[in-house]
Amino acid sequence: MILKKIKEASLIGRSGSRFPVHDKWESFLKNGGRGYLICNAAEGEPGAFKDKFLLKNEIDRVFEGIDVVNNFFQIEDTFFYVKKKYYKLFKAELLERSKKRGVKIKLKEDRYVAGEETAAISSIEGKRADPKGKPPYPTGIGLWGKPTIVHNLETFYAISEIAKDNYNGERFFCITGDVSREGVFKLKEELSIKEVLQKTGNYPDFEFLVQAGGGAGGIFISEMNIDQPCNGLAVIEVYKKNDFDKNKKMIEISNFLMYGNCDKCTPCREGIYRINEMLKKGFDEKIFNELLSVLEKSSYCPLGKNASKVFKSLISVDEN
Amino acid sequence: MKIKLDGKTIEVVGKKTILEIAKEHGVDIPFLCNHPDICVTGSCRICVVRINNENRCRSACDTVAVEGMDIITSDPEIEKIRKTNLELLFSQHREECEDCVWNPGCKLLELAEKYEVKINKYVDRKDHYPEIGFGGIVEFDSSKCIDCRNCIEICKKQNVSFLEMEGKGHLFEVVPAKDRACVYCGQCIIHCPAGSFESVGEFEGVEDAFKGSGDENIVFQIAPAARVSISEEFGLDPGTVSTGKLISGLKKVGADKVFDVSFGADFTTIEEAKEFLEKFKDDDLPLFTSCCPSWVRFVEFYYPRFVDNLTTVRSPHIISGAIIKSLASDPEKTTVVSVMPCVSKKYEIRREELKVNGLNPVDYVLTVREVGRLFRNKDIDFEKLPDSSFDDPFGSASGDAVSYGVAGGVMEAALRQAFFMKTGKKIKEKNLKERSDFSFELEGKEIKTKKISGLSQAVKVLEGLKKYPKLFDYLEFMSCPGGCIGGGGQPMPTNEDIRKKRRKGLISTGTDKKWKSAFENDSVSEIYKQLKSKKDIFHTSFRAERNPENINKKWPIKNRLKSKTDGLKI
Ligand code: SF4
Ligand code: SF4
Ligand code: SF4
Ligand code: SF4
Ligand code: FES
Repeated sequence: MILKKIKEASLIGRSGSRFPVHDKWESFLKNGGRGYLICNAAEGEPGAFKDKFLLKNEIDRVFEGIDVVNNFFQIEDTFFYVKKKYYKLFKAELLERSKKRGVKIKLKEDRYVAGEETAAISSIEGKRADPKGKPPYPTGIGLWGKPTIVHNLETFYAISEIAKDNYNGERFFCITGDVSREGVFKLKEELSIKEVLQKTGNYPDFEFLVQAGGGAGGIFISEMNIDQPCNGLAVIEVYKKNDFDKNKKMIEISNFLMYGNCDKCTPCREGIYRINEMLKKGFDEKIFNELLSVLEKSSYCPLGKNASKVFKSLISVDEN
Repeated sequence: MKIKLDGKTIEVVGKKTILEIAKEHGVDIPFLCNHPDICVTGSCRICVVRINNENRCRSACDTVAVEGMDIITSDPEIEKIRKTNLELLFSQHREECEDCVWNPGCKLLELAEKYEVKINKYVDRKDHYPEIGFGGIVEFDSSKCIDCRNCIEICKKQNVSFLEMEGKGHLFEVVPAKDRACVYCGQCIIHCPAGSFESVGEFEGVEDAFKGSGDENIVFQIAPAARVSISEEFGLDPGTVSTGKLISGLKKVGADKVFDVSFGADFTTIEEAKEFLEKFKDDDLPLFTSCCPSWVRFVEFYYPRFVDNLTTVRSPHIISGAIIKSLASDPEKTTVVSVMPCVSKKYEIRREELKVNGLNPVDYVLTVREVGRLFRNKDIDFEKLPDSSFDDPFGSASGDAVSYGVAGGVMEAALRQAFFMKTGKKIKEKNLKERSDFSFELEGKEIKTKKISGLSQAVKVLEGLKKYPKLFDYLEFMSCPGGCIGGGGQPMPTNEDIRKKRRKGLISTGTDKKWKSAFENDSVSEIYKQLKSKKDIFHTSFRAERNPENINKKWPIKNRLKSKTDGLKI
């Protein structure tokens, strides 16, 4: 049985929130085992191009994974939630495969937060792609109030591998920045950042730092600390230390978040706006820390919370 | 189920949010954006609490308690978060406290004081944001908006969806939709926590009625729902009846006469009953009430196919206004001011077709909030005012007429009247009050009626009628949730709890009346005799208006730039 196999493989969702797949499935079953399925191919992190890679090279595996889930559960409708840009690139391939299966395609709004799973649900429901609070989790109350499973397309890829007994605990790493071999690489999940860089021939011969987890949501790690695995999204961006301008990076990220958030909650909407403002006009550490604290502790959705982690890691990256 | 609230174990029954539970147990969790009428937006992040000692806080307004939850409503970190979030809210909210619908009683300021918030820690982000007028009736000052989206939600719930989010650069703003029409229900005003909306003249216009040459006869008339809710403007409990004090207060500020709009309601009842019976005879039902101007506008614009179903009988204060002027010695020199729970009535009195002999039946409408302001401007000590009675000759109205202020009142009154006119008997009261859909028999035919308050309900029924035109025979529609007791001109805050108390208070004023129904009121027939041309006093006309451009031309959406001079005054 596929659920047992997935549990044995301890498959972790590939979205970045690192949620065990069998937990989602069991919760879906507990809620009746009927409802909707969403394949999320809406990566929005700057520097991430793994979804694109999979659409280009492994689209059949992804759809096979969708089939596996459809065969196991009673799925009323499957939605393929995809970034507009990618849809344009792979329209023919996507349409061919989705038509055959009655899978519906929904284009993602061009906002960062729109990739979040509850925002995806709102968007498919025809509303603004704003996140909803969790709990309730989508596996209980999801699309149009019905139990819903949302997986990243790489998770579907892995599911299809597991179904065929091909899975060996590998995931796709996206490596970018000041590296010689930019690209997507399939490697063991538990590898440390250091090992990933070494194995892919990307270990720099200069002083550097990395951002792991994506260009907006990823945390900054100094060279000394890369002996840890890549938590969250498997996106590693390498920066030459000598060229790295912290303030510029901070402005860049706050700009990105300002455009990409949903503007719904006070700490994220106003907090990031003020952080951006003070980076340009004059930094006040006390206020900065206050703002990070409300972002971390009181934002409505994980975007705001994560933003504070990113800023904190960036501020302190050369201290350790 | 048992949970712990600030260390105390308590028993909770049913599905409730932490905010609701705290309220029930007298624990104060500050909040801003939450309003029970609207599904939670969870945007302000002031109501944060700590659950099960988690590192991250959660919002009390949208977190449902579950068995065993351990909730802490205050600790130094929570307080600090609230303070910072308040400062951020103030950073986008241009304070204009003097002229704000929340003054007195503003929650933002109350919290600012409690948390020692530096209101001006940041430069106001929205300082230059425009003020937008909707048809010259509702005004939206977007520089005060704290982006909670309550107004969008309530307007959507009203099925008008006139307000929407528009992306501007990296931020979203509340803007009026270009292809929709506001129906002036004013629900956005009473659901905005930041006082961004107000009705036209809400501050600068409250004394306009007294600005004439001085030899005018200034006549006030009071709507049913106003005599109860005015109490709240002066800190009295919701539901307290203050008819007598309201009359005295109005006299004190310069009213020559104060009448009861309810006497107009008795005419509306009689005329509407006549129309109902005619349509019954001609098999031309259903008939819709039309005394709520927002409802009329809603039909004219969004459901024009039903325009002919609206009763042509004018609303009570328009009829009483016209009667007052018709019987006055010098109509030109008579100024009629209606005290209303309603914003939309300000629009109604501008409708051209209501003029009688070239004169507007009503010259000004003051909302309950505005009367509160007028009295405060004039330093009137409301609680100490003596109780006065309405002036003659229009002092007597039936109990039914007073019920116009609560949902269902209009139709109930007309039904009693019609039944009596047709059969000479009184209608069997059973179920008439309690049920929203009431049926009875008239000449062997079943008459099905329905009462609807809140436009969200209205649309369901209208869609039903599209499919099954004979679904109902007579329907009362009120735009505001709960009818006029929940009107857009009522005191702030307004919510279901308060609406219920107002309703109770209002019904109690109707039961001590000498007459229950219009047909028992003999002063009515007296006045009928005195009036010469009846038609244009009692009836009006409507027109379907499908084109948003036309309607927006007549009632334009105006964008005014903010003058930067208004300062902060506390
Ligand atoms: S943290 Fe708040 S404003 Fe930011 S994206 Fe989430 S809900 Fe929207
Ligand atoms: S105008 Fe008022 S109700 Fe509307 S979003 Fe702004 S603060 Fe909220
Ligand atoms: S007055 Fe009523 S219809 Fe107009 S914007 Fe406000 S809520 Fe919407
Ligand atoms: S229900 Fe009453 S208060 Fe509300 S718009 Fe209609 S008449 Fe005015
Ligand atoms: S009251 Fe709970 S978030 Fe505003």
